[in-house]
Amino acid sequence: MRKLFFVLFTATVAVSAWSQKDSDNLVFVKGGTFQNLQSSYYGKGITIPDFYVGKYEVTQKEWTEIMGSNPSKFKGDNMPVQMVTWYEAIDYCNKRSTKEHLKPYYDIDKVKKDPNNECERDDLKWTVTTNAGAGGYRLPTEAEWEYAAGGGQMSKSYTYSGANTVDKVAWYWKNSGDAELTGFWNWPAIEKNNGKAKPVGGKEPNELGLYDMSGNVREWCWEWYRDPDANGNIVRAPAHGSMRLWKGGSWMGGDFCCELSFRAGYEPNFRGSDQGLRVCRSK
Amino acid sequence: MKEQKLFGKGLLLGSACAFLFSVTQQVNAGTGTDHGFFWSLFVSGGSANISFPSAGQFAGNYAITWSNVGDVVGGKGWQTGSTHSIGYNCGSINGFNNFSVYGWTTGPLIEYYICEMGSVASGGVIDTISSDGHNYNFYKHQQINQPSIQGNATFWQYLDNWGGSSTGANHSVTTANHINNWKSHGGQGFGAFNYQILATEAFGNRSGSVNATVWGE
Repeated sequence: MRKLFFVLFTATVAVSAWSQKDSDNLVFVKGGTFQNLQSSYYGKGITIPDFYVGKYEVTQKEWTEIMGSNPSKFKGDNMPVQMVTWYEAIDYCNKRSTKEHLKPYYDIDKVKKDPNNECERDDLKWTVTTNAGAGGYRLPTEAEWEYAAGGGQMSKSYTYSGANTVDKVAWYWKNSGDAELTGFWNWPAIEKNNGKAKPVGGKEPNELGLYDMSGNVREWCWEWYRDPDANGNIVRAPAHGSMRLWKGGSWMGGDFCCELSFRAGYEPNFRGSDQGLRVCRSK
Repeated sequence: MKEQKLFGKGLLLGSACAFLFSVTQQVNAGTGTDHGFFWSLFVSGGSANISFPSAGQFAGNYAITWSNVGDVVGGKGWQTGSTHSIGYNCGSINGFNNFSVYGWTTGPLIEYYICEMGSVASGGVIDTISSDGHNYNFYKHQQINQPSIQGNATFWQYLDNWGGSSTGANHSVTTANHINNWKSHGGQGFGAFNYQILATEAFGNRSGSVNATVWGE
């Protein structure tokens, strides 16, 4: 009996330790309405439920442990994974969920072409649907991303995630290379200055303790992206499209991309040395 | 478009006072503001320098000289562009490839050129517009998964090509005419303004110089 108790106790401690270690890189985000005055969602009456979000962008170590290979251009265990398509990001979420005995959030049909996918350059067009209520890893929605980047209920209404000065919190084209660049964005200058992604967590965190939500690599979100309409109105979560949404800006792009309200899209099957992801989970 | 080395792949502008700023074999030249304008100079290979010899009298004045450059782009302009008309006077220019109003928009992401001297022509002509007393051919060119001010992206370049301007006289670029035509016939609409400058580019081991003044009208 004592032996059994000892075994059970040891196993419980081990599982608890594993869970604790695993959850170390997930931050609990208390839900509510948008407090950040700079958010494009502020005052829109939208309430975000509680959820968990990655403290860091998914690192190459985390990616390789799940996917078995590392597609990144700029290598390093503690660097954010890059060169991942939206499809691979979705696949990663499910495989990581399975490994951690969580119910996968996505149903992925790699054969059936998604009729809502209008991207002429996309030769995959997987059909991806969600399992509402599943506790597995997933990509954040734009609203969740912006809520977390804006500091949630602890928001200080910063323009960037964690500061009003971009250099405090973000790696972007001016500060991601050998020397500080100035002036207008210039790709030859960035390239010759060895601009690149940086190890995660190298800048100051935001109000919730999240790192690199502004800059380093752009982060895939769930929704389709569409440019504003002819009157400049934002089109949120269209039912179909040709690009998936990203947020946060990157080491390659301008400071304006690092503003938490900035939004743009990228073909779901494209790879970029500035494109990565951050996972989240429902509570 | 890549082969043409248009400053689409970058154009640094920057700051300064009215003193000479020299760069040799550098990728990041000086930059900042001078008399209320942003300026920047980028050079890859060879050498180049920028100065503001008459900026005390004409705020938008700048002069650039270059020697055996792989690529040099420089000029003066605005951090956030607009539909304002742009005036310029190019006192002298030689050894260059194009002299253009250049800028970006986001949402949609578009890189645009209004070429006053030299050429940025590429691909087929969409249409021709008449503005400021002459005709521009409108070319469109798509960049797929290429570096941009937003990072890697697929975007259109809108290229209005005239090239027949002259030195030693005041000229106007009624930017709104170009933008309205792009909105009507470009097929992508037109987004929010990012930076907008009057720039000169030279490449292919050329040597030369430009002395020009830009202003908003």
